[in-house]
Amino acid sequence: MDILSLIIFSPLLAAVAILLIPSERKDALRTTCVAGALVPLVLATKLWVDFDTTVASYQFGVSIDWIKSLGIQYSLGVDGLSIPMVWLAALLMFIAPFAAWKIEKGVKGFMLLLLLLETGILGVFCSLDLFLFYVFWEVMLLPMYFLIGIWGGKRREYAAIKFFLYTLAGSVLMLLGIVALYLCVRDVTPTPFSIPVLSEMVQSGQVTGANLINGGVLFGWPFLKWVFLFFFIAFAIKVPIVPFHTWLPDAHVEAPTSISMVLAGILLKLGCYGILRINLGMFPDIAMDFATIGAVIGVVSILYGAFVAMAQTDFKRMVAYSSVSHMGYVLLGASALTSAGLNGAAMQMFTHGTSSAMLFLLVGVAYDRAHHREIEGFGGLASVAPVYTGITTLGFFAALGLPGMSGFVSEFLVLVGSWGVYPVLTSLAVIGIVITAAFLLWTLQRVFLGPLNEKYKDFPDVDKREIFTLVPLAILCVLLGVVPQILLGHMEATMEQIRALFG
Amino acid sequence: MIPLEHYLYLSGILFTLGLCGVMMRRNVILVLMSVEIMLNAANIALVAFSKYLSAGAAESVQLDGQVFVFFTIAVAAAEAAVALVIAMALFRRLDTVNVDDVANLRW
Amino acid sequence: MTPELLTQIAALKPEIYLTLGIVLTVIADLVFGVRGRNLVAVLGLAAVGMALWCLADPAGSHPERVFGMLTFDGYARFFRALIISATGIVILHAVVFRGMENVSRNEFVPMLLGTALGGSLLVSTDNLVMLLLSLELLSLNSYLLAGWQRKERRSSEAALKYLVYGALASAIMIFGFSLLYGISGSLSLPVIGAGVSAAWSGGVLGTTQLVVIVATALVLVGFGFKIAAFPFHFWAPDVYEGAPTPVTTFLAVASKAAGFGVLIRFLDAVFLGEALNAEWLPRLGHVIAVISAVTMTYGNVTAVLQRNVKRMLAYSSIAHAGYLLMGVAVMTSGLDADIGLDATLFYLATYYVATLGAFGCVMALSNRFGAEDLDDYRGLGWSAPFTGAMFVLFLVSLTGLPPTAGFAGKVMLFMASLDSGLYWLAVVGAINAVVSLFYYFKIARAMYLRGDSKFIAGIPDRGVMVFFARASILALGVATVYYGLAFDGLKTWVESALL
Repeated sequence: MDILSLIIFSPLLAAVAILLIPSERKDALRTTCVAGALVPLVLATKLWVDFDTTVASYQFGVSIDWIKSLGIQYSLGVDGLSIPMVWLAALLMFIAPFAAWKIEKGVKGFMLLLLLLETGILGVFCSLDLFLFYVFWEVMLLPMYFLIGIWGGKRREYAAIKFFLYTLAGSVLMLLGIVALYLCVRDVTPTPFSIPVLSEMVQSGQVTGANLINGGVLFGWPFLKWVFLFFFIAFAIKVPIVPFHTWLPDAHVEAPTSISMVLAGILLKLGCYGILRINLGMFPDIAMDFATIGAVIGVVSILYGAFVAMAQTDFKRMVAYSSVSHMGYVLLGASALTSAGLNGAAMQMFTHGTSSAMLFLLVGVAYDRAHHREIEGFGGLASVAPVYTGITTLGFFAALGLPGMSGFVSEFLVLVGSWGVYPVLTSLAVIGIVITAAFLLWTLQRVFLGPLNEKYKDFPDVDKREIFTLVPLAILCVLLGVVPQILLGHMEATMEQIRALFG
Repeated sequence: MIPLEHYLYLSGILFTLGLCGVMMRRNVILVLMSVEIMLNAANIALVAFSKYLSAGAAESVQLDGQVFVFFTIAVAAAEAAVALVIAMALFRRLDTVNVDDVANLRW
Repeated sequence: MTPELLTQIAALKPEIYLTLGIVLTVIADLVFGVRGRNLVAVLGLAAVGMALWCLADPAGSHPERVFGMLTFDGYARFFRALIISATGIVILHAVVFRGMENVSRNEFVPMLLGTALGGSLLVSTDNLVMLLLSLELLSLNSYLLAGWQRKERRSSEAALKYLVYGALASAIMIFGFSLLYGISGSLSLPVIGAGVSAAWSGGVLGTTQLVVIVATALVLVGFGFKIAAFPFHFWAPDVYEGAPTPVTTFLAVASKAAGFGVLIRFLDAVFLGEALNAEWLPRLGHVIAVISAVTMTYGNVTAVLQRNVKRMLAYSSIAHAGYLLMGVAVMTSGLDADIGLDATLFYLATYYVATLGAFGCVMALSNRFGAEDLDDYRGLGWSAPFTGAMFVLFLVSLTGLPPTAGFAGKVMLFMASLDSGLYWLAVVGAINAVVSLFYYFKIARAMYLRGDSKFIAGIPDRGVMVFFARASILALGVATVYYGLAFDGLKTWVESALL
């Protein structure tokens, strides 16, 4: 078996193993889950080391005929865009069972679903066949629904089904797009679902929809624009981009800590990944037409997310909205279509993955102890929980883009990249940074500084398990701020290739 | 000879009457009787067609329609029997012989 | 008997086994009475098994045309396999179904076999006489089966309602037949098709054409009733809710399959056999497309409001009739008919697996916990992990999410409708999938998200038959996933069943 298949399916194997363990043996279940998540992490690290940074196209590829009647292939591969995501996903999914260690209700189901989720996520990042991509994309939904719905907070039912419905609404459109593309090219190529083949054909003008009824024109819009739009909506809902973001605060707030972390850390990146891989990588000409709109939506997301986050009284909700804001940078950077912008967008995906995961873990720490998340309800925690305060400060700094931290590099790259193209929008985005800094620091002040809230004079500091989950992320935040080249070096070749599509 | 149209008019009228009966009656027995009328409308049309289709060519007599009628009658009889069985079961359960009491199902 | 006659009879072997099963089960019931419960079931299952075994004979080992009325082609084989195997699974579940403990289950088996016999002849025939008889054999048995729990008012009411509407629908359909006969002078569908296309050859809208339109409409009412398409669906929710669950299962799967089988054969023989005026066929296609869109939307939206699980699944089956009609609409859209037919049959097979499985789970939960309404399902997923997980899997398949067969089915349908230019229908279908998710997952929500995760023992059911019923659910679950991930085989089979 090739390494990518191993990475994707080892969690599935662990899930089968979990199925066989009796549900009373909770620690055995948790350990199996950790073991199942460790394998992909180790393999992904090996992948990272073996990755040839000078090659722009897909590496470690594997292609097997899967459904022959439709020319569907089981086709995997990673390039500079996906390999950081694969590694990040493997890392966060390894941390997730630790963050969920204290869950006592239905441990078996939880760990099982967590591993299924991991298979889905890793599969999406590695798929080079649209059909396979779609299958993995949807496979994620079901575990997520139950993870939020069963182990979530008070309004978990609402949050879970809302998440499911929103995502599905987007993805059925994507399915129509995929099927339409297939119909266009099925007579021309033996592999009509292959992402590289389709990209090539679209860019060389072979896919026009001319062989469809009415030439694929619907309401006066040409075929490819519809396909582009369908893909974009599906991804925009996942990112999420204003105005499709309303599922996000609910899902994040209601989900248990480990799941919020996975949601913010990886699931949102799937949308961004789709936009970069498919919308930009496959339809560059149309992407150029839509770039300005994309940039505007991106900036709206940045500002809207930041302002709404500032208004939140709930700690977790605030972090959730700050994610909306941060995801706006990805869209802005991607819409700039410049080298710095694209690199910044791709890097922002990674850095936000680490910093937001950290923030959700930190919120979880506070919630576990205080059983509420009201920002105003804390106060002066710095005096009783110095380590917690320290790590939180680090996480906040990473999130607000303080120089020397990873968030700074990626946001800076995005702004540099988009400045030359959209000066006005970029200036507005800078305001977003200022607001983000403002509310994060304000929160820091309200929670940790000032007089100690008497209720929490026995507030225990973070324990070893929590430190174990936080430290890898904290290291990444600092490390990538100081030597971003570790990450950028892997991405550059591929991002340059994408940029070259835009002349 | 009476023209084909006349039979068809009769058949059409019967069919419409039956349909109206089904639509307007709330009584199960009457509804079923209306259905029988509709079936007989079809029977008349079938026999008439059969007769007139074979009128021109003596060597190829068209009997299909008439055969079909026999089957329709048999089917109607079977339907009526089953209907009575079910109606009986329902009415016995409700201790009433008055069909109108139970005929007001949630249509 | 001449050898030729014998070979013709040999083609009827599955039907003969079913008939034999009817006779033997009736005799066993007479001899052993209540004590022969399992024997009757085993005999019924054996008949089904033998029939399926004969169906598996390689194609071409029997003549296709039998007695000038039946066509045992790949198409008939496909539908007969679906109908007969569904009957077997229903018998298996009916034997252990607690909801039917107070009524005799012995006569139930021969009745079901008779229904299967009707269905299997219905999808094989191209003659109106045979069509009428087999349809009535199917229907009359179904009416009685729906009222099987005669001490339950709901069941009797369901039967009566089913019967009255069914009789009305057949009356309308027979009137349509009489008109078709008048136009063509024949009761054979291909000849009727020739007559219809001769009537259209002028291209002007005269009396004959009007008669054809009226006749088609009347006949489609009859078939529309059988498949529960809007606006002839209204019997379905009451009947599905009132009938004993095994019967509901049969109606939702086998009866619907038979309805589609005959509908498609009718449309194919009458309208697609000879080149119909290219202007008119797409109009028929558009009418069916509209019916399809309305049916699926109505079924899905109304299902959202339901509290009773069986009733919800009834509306869901209406919605699926809408999806299947999507393929029929493509078939009659005037382009390559095989595209639509292919998708319809494929979808039907995936629907078959998921619906049988879902109802199997409904019965299992009803047996153990007496669960009927959504509220009764609270937290059951924790107490019945196997059934709960399987139920979710079938619901996922019915919604049309990967990695299940339902997803592959939806892909085929969307592909067919995009291929034939019915873009709007594909979008309506896609949106409907999202709506259906909402109510299907109400069941999942009740089972897992609601209630506490405590273990409730319920009334555990044991026995050999229970084991096999479980095994059938597991097999359906495996098939659901397998055909979602590797549907080449299913596709090949479907392609061998094209008309």
